[in-house]
Amino acid sequence: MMDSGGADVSRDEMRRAVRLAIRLNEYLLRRAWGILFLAFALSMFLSSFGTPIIDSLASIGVASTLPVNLAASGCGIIAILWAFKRVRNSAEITHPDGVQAWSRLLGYRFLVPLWIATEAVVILTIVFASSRVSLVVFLIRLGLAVYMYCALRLSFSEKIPRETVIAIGSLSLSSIASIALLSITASPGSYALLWGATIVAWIFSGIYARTRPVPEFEEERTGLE
Amino acid sequence: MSDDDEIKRDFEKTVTDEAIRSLNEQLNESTFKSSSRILILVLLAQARRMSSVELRTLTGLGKGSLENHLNKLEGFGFVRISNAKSIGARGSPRQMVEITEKGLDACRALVKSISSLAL
Repeated sequence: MMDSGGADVSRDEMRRAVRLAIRLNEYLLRRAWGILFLAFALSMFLSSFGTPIIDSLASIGVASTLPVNLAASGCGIIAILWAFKRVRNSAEITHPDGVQAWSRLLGYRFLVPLWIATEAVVILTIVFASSRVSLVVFLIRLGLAVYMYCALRLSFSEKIPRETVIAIGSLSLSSIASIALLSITASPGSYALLWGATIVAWIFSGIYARTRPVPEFEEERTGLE
Repeated sequence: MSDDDEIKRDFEKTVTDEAIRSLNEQLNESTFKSSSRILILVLLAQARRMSSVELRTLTGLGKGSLENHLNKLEGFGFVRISNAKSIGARGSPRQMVEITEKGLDACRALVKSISSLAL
């Protein structure tokens, strides 16, 4: 890219510079989603395997469920708040008309109360209907997949990156399959296999997103000064 | 042609005329007389804060060229440049660039007028 300081810029060049900036920012957002995927892989690991691991080391029963569940969802909510702030900032520029409603749905003012409400539902289920905890958790995960998909659509102007399709697809499929498995009382091994594979898919998606090189966008860069 | 169609056509013409006028004003604004500065400003508007190293990597500009553009943008009051102590870089200061509210407003207006003319 050449630098010619104060030379006049045509409308077309202006348009190309804006388009290039938006596409380069999508690359930054892709990396931010990568962090979110890795944090969520940790969150899902804690949520799915944390309690059984702690129980196998020292049998403390249901007492371990609560702190592990809080640590898992806390890890997830911090990653979401961090990544979605970037999505909101970008959307404010790229979707100036339709961003108001979205900004609220992706902001901490909506997310934090939602997280507290979700935690309350899980805790109340543990206390009053412990046999339904798994169903509630899987339903929350399915809702999370839908919510994340909507945020992804806002992050990328064209196609959403393939690693995000893998991550959201695996989360949705595992949640639906787990809900289905609940009705046939499958062995714990089936869930471990399902969620183990999902965690691997999320780790892969996170690493893949983080290791993408800066795109060239030759066409947009041509002639920019 | 129905009245509705005519009203719609007049409205679209007014919006387009306004967008062209706004874009023409921006074309005369010296900040936007360099596509590199537009690129930097729109990138910063979306990310709000970036290091100059990140900006260099993304824009492909040289160190001197980027500094020149950043100084101009700072002169217009569109960005703020600060030195932050970076962790793990042996305490060497890392230059951070942050967009100001004035820069955000200018960027919003620019993107809006370009979008109105179908990006």
